[in-house]
Amino acid sequence: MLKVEKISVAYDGKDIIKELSFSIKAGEIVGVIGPNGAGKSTLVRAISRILQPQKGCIKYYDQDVYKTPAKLIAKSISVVPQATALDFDYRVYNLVLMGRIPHLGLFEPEKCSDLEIVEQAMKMTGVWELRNRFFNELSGGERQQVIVAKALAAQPSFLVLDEPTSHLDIKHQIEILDLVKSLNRQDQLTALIVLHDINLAAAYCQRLLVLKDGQLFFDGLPKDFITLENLDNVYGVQVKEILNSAGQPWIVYR
Amino acid sequence: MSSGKIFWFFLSLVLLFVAACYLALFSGQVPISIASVFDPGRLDNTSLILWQIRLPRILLAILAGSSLAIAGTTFQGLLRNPLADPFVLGVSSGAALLAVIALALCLPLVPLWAFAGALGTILLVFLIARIRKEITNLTMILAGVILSSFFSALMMLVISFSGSQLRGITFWLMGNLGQADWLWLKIGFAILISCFLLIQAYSRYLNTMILGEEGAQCLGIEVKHLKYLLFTTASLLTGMAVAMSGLIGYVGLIIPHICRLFGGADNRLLLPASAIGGAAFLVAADTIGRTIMPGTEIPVGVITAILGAPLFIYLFLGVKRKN
Repeated sequence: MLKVEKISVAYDGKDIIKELSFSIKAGEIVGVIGPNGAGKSTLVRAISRILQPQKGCIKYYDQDVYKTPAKLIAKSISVVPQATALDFDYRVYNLVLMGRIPHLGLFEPEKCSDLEIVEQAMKMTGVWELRNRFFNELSGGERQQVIVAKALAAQPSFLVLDEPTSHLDIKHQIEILDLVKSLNRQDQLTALIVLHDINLAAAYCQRLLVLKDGQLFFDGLPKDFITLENLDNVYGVQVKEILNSAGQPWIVYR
Repeated sequence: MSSGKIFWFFLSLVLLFVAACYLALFSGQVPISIASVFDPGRLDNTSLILWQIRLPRILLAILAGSSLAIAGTTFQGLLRNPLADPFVLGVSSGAALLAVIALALCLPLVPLWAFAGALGTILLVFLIARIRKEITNLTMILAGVILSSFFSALMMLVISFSGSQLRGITFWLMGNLGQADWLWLKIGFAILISCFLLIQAYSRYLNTMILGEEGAQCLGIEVKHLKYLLFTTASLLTGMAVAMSGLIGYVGLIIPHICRLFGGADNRLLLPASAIGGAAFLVAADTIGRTIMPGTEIPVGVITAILGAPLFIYLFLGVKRKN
């Protein structure tokens, strides 16, 4: 579905990603982890057609994303950023409605079917009750759910989430990741999730991509990455022990 | 906003606009009642004042007010900054500089010079902002501020040498709606309507800028093209307003604010609402300017600043308190 072929991305004259290659199959949930500055967010920006790689290419179903019209890509790939704050307040419903823009022409008004899709996306994410509230009045967790609803309103086949849980408490973190998992099961939604919490990444992602200094350090099953040696190599931390909880590794830091 | 609320919001705006136009048409040093319009005996005198003096003036106020308010709404949306106004990119200073030169040298077609100044300035802003390859809001604003102060300095230089033309120049700089001319009005309205329709067509895309440039890009919007198109169109409107009526501040700043307060931030509604609100505000401000002190006329730019500055502070404090 998605093929990243030997991409190198520089930003402000500094090489952030160097010769990175991997591919994602339809229906996978792939986690991207790595220390700060490893190039995780840059990778998300490259995939979401914001920061064009200087070398290599990113193909979505064999089409170069940078040679395909932006709207066509936006219909298939939706992005959930780290956090969203609005300078002018919008009602939640109008914000989620923006998710339909990739499917609408310049002069085309939203049809009943668009409104139904928006309602469905809002109900799925549990924000339908908040539809008449103003976005900036909501809590961080509710805001992130609204932004996920906006991303889902585009009916994407590939969802890219850039540290979607970084500003959330544990309850909301689990809610967001449970939602991605259930969409993956029900609708075969493919997802790429950048996460900082390795335990959460191991619990929710079928596969992990570990970045270090802009390069791919590891690509495989979470349980194969989570070893005392790898954690020391990538993060430079000595963890106390790694437990095995129902087949999943769980890192105990102290 | 529900459709009922939208209806009442726009109805109130239209009523305010009609009331402002009615007052403007029938107030002034020569009292004219609505009955006298239909009185054949007084038709000559009345029609001269109405058709040749008051109506063109009202139309120019509508033209300038709408243009500035639409440009203000567009700039605020693009820059995601409620303090942005139509003059933020220095377009007004560019327009004013060439107009002042034309006035000082007694050249004909002053509005055309001002318009050329506005277009030249936006071109320069783009060129300067492009030096760093990526045209960001910050580089645009910085380029605008630098050009604005440079042009203002040049303007002062021209004014200091202007001699007998000083009074005319000063009056023009404070905003003057008394120069209305049917031909310029027709050209102005053609520009206003085309620019408004263009911005309105892109209003849904303008809404997405609230998510930040990257957020808008993720929805498939070609943000760079959108910025070029809308900055240029809004600058055209500003240039046209400055060319025809001089420097009139605060319309493009407070009208979008007030409309957003009552009608929400959706640009699809905010743009037409600002257009009507801007027109009503400037027609009312000009009527106050020419009737409040019998025998003399206060420049409309002075009235908008006197009304606008306290109103803006009040609105700003109100929003702060609400938050």
